[in-house]
Amino acid sequence: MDTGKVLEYDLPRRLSYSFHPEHDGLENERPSRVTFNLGEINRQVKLTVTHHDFAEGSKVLPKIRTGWQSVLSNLKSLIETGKELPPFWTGDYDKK
Amino acid sequence: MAVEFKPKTIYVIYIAATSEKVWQALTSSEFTRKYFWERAIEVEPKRGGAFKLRLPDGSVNVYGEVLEYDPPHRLSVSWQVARPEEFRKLPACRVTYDIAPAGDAVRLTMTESHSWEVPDAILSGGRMGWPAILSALKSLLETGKVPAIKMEPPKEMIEAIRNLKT
Repeated sequence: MDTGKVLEYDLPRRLSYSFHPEHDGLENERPSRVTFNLGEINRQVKLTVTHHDFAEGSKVLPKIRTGWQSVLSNLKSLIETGKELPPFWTGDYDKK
Repeated sequence: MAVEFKPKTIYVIYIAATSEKVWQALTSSEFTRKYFWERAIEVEPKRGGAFKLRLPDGSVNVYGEVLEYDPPHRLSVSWQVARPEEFRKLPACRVTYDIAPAGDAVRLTMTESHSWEVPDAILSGGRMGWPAILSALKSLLETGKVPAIKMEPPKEMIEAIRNLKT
């Protein structure tokens, strides 16, 4: 399980939380931080995700680095078409 | 000695479509006019062929050479901006699209590579633009509709180009 605390909650513009994976030997690393920023123009939203504030030499960073693109692509499909993408997840991050 | 191009901006997006459909959307003007701010692409279907992006008035916005042409997997072109005129002093970069199956979806990777130490301010234009272009492409293929994404000109990039010593 990944856990954390809500650090900023400014609906519907900004959400920020700490991110602490509690598995795979990652539980001893201090939490990093995820921030979502939403900017709306003409009923379209530009979503910017920043995953930042990693511990030096972070073991979490290389594991999450390629994950966000698929999560965000999935989110966009779900919102625009009502369906998530066909399953394609090949990473090993949450299989263990 | 051959000039080395290094990737400076990489953008990945997953699309519920076939590789062939994504290839078609990247290489046919019928599609690019809808999601690439009305620009019409022209790609000669062979290595060494000509590549162009035309503005709606027919003038050339970007031109270059086809470096790799491997449908429906990989398209790589050199990318020289012709308009706005002040962008001409930028050395050509390379833009490569890689299409890979990801289950029943497709992973599209756009890589923008440069042969010089490009300042971040100049890279900022592409870093703002590519997510909008590729998001619109994804919407077009998945929903048949394209969001009209309004975007300001890349002020920081234009300023940096003006100050660039050539």
